[in-house]
Amino acid sequence: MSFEPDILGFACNWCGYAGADGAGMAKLQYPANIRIVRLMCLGRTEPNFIMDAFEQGYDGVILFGCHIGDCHYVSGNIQAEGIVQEMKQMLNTLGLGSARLRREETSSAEGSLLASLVATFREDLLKLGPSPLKKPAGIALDAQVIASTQVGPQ
Amino acid sequence: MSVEAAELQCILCNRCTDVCPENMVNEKFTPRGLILSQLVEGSKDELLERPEIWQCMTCNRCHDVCPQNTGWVDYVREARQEAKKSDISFYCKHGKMLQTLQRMMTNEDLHQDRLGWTGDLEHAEEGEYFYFTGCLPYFDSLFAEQDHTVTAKSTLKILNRAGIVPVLSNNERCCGYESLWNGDRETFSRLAKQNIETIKQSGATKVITACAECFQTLAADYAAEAGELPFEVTHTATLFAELLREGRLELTRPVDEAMTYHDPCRLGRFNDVCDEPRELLKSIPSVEFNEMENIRNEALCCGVGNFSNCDANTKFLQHERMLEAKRAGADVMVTSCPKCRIHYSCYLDGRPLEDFGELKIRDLSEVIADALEQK
Repeated sequence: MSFEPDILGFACNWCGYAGADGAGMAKLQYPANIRIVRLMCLGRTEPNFIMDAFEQGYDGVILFGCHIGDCHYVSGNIQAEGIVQEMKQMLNTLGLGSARLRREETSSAEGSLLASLVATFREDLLKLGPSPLKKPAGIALDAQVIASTQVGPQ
Repeated sequence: MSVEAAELQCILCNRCTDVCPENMVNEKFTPRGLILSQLVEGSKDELLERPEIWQCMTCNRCHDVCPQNTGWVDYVREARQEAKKSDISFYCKHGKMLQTLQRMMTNEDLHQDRLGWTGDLEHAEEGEYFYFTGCLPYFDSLFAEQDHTVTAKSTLKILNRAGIVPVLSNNERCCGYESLWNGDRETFSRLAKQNIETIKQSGATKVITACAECFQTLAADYAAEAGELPFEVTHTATLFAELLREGRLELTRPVDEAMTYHDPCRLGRFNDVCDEPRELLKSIPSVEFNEMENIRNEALCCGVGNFSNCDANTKFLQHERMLEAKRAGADVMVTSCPKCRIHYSCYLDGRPLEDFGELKIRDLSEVIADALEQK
């Protein structure tokens, strides 16, 4: 069976997700490898969101947020960039390689850019090959997995 | 001991609560109270929903005073494992990051690249000694505001200076401490198996670690998991003290600082290694060594156990300890557990309740490496 990478995307409500929405409205074609999780702001990203995705067997993680300076909450995308840099370093230590994680800036009007970025990321992941943590059964999306990734009560 | 057996063992004398550091700052937390309510009307299901089993820092301070050997920390550990089995998931700090990392490392196909910090220091692929670095290379990315591999570098430097070229392995996994103490026994067992295999393959008979928690896990919990181990585990504090006595390590460079020593729970209370670090610090020329009020097996806890809890109460405890260090007139508080260093530095780098001036938290290895003759 040929390898198709599984990509997890995080997109902020205002730019990234609106851009993806725009791409859909314009009926642009882009690879179906990506699953997008909407966050209100990329500043919501926790290091463990990224690492948990890799642990569950995703081959790549991509973050879509506003252009630097355009964040609706002033500096959420700058915070996200800090986390991405730290997690890239950690991916290198883990031996997965930092190329599996990306942060991109797409405004709500740049749906076509978002579509092309997903396509490029898929191409790059095809060259890198499957993640060593990939599970033979693929990525489970049953209720139990979803529940285990939710943050429980304090 | 099972949860039920521990409950029956307790005579409800309340000595545990009197000494409990968590109770000092959170009066609702009482080991005795929990056991009492369990005995009177509790069911096991209720126990697993109680927040107390996650608030405990497992510092073992209650063990010394317990006349019945109830084993409160084992009770907590057991309860957490039961909770995990019943799918009761609690919020652990840093979004459960450390547990995620440990689950990742159970995968045999993962080929880490974790020796980037070694520089020009000597290490081998086979030999008598195995230096177990633990999570230090990962902490550099996770807690990036501090330098953590400096502990590993210093340790390796001291070992090299004493003529020891230890084995370092890219195949080393995390010791599994956080998984074990947060109820994930399965991950712990798999990590233990992999690490024992890695150490065996290197031909090492002596394992050295600079982390109090790795030491406790490797020496005691791996032995409980896998039976007799084909190697002996030593903490760097013990090893360096031995090397110093044998004359293989010479601390000649004066360090003009006032120091105090914080006993990590896994080294002081669990393993009774209290004299060696003090012996080492006192042998450094020009060091003024002062003790704090609560030391050795009565030492205060750093406030965070197994990354399962960190809140306002934690900060009050850390503040208490920093005040003790300040009253002891220390510029540097030395500890021999990287986790204690992380938690105390986190408090000092944040917004401490008062000004602690130049007070720094440093690892024992760092301080000793500074006292080595420069080449």
